[in-house]
Amino acid sequence: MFRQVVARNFAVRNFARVSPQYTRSIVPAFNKNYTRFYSSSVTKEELVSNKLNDIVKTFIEEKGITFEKPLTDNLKLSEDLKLDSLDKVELVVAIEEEFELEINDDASDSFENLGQIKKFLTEKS
Amino acid sequence: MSMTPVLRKRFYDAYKSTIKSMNFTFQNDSKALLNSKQLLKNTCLNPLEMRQSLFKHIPEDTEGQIKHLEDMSKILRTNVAQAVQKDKYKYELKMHKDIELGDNETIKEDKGSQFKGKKFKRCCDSD
Repeated sequence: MFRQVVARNFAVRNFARVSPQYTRSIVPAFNKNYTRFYSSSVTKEELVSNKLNDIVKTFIEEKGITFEKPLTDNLKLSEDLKLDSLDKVELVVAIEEEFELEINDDASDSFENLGQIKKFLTEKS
Repeated sequence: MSMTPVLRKRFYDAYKSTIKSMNFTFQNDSKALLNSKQLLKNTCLNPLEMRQSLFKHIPEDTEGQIKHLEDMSKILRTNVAQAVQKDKYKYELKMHKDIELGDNETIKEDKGSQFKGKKFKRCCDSD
């Protein structure tokens, strides 16, 4: 029994001694095709939502609008953010450029809150 | 400013196009970009006031103002290039594909046109 244990330990030690060289020669080859798998927990809606929130935050900062509350889907562009029709055009241009798509007049006229913009962008992107 | 639906659409299209042109032309100059957008908005909201104080060439009628805006969008993209100061007397002009390039031959044709018909006088000529 003791002989088996000693033999096993010897094997482990030898493997440990050998393994750094072994891994050094193997790992780079393995790393060449290294692929990271993201968990599927981040949905398309969340990605769109985060990106849109960043655009809106930057936009209202540039406009000097102070808005402390978190940006929610029910947030109204006119009433809550105090954006006029020209500001809305400017915001639509910022969204178009960031999402690399064209928003037609009918759609942009219909935007009243952030939820509507998010829904449109999720369907289009 | 009351507008017909057709003029209203034309105005918003021109405004959108001008914002896009500004984003394109002043893309690396956030200060110029912010100021130009602010000035554009103020001018669109109060064209007659801005006409008196700053921009004397803005037309009085709505249609003329929209045409002015459309022209501005085009000119910003095709005739305005930003320059970056590299040295005390050295500027690097940032050209891009949309900049309108003149033909050398047409420039030669107009050479000296501002002096045509005027009496030419050299510095060594006596009065």
